[in-house]
Amino acid sequence: MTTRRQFIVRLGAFGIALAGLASTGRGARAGDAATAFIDTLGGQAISTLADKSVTDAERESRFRALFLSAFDVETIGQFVLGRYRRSATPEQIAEFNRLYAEDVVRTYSRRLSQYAGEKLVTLGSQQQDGEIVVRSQIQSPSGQKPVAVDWRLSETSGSYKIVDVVIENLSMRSAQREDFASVMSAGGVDALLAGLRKKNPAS
Amino acid sequence: MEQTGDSGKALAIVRGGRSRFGRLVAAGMTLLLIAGAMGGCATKPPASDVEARAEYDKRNDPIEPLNRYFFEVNRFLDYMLLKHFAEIYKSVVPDPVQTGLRNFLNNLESPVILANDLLQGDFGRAKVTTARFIANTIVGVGGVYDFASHIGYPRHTEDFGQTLASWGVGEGPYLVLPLLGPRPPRDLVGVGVDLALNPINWALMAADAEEIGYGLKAADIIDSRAHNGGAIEEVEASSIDFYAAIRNLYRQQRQAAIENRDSGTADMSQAAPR
Repeated sequence: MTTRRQFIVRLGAFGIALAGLASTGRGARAGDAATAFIDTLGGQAISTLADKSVTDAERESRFRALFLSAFDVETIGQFVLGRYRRSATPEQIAEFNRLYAEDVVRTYSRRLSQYAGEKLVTLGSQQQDGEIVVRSQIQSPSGQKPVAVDWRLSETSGSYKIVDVVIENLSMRSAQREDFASVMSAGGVDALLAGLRKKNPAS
Repeated sequence: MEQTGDSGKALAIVRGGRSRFGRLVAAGMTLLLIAGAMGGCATKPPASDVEARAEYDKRNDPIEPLNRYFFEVNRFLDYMLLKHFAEIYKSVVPDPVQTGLRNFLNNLESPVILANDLLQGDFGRAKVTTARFIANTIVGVGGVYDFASHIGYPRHTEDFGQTLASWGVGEGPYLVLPLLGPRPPRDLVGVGVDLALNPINWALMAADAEEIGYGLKAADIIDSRAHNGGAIEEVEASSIDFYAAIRNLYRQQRQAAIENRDSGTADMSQAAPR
């Protein structure tokens, strides 16, 4: 049972992963631009969450804008489509991009909504496989074991975008690629589009 | 002499009852297996479709329909039983008691973790496990308090599946079993060996008190479900094919565990009475 429990514990990171973006230690250890990017993003997420003067609808649209600017939705989309991308029609690709952007927004809004006072502490960055990895820890106020989150970033002319979130050694884009591949190997790209529509109604 | 005879008889009755229960479980499992076997095997793409074949090989899930069947059986059992037990446990049992129970159960695992630390030749971690076991058993009142985390010995886990991996044994094809969940052959062997490595199991067997072992296991399962169920529900909410997402995450998690890629920090919320 150890294995299963440990597995589940690691997945426990899920609920608070982006929630922990809520950062107060902005720039505390940020010795580089990539780390500062994650710190700033965390600061923006927490201030949006904490701002009681905005309506729920307004907050939702702010998160939408924040996520769409922070995540490289197109690159992640290409990765998770994998080999099926080449056999897809331009219309299917366009529809996928639209649905996938919505999916990213909703997934991370849901995770952020579980925020309960966690702190994001960045631990610096390093180059790895052509990407920049910003290591961070999400510390809970009750002293639970910190959750390790690695933010994998792409860089284009000095500006950064998130291409993967690795929570306690679990790569989200890797899991999603296998998830989507399984759907597409059974029913093609249309099955994936239908699945995304069903998962995020009215999108 | 009379008394010995009586207790022998009582034991025989208990034994009889247990084996009847065992037979029932076995019969149930057989039925499940037969039902599942009718699901058959995954269709292998033709060798001409190189990409599809490569994906199939990487997936390494030749009896996928059967695995999916057991995956759904487990979800159903969770939905019908475990989830409710976990909810009741979480709402009825006071938090400090839950923490104490978790620490107690973790401490009981120490001999197995130590054995696997040693079998992997990791003497540094074996020392930590030994220090933890001694500190928590004595100062931590039989393991109820995780004193060792306070003095710089954070907990880690090891199991024989990981030991086999460190010896170069591959995981084998993906396998989902009723009640056990994802257990590819290497990890399934690991579960069996870990059971045999645990002196507590032998002690309980010698004392003819296996019921205590079942009770501990049940407590372990319910406590785990109570504290970590939300994470699994999040995976379910964020995936389209829940089964495929879990298959990927299981393998990622095992790989990280094998490479000991943990942060090495203690869970201080569990370490002390609140």
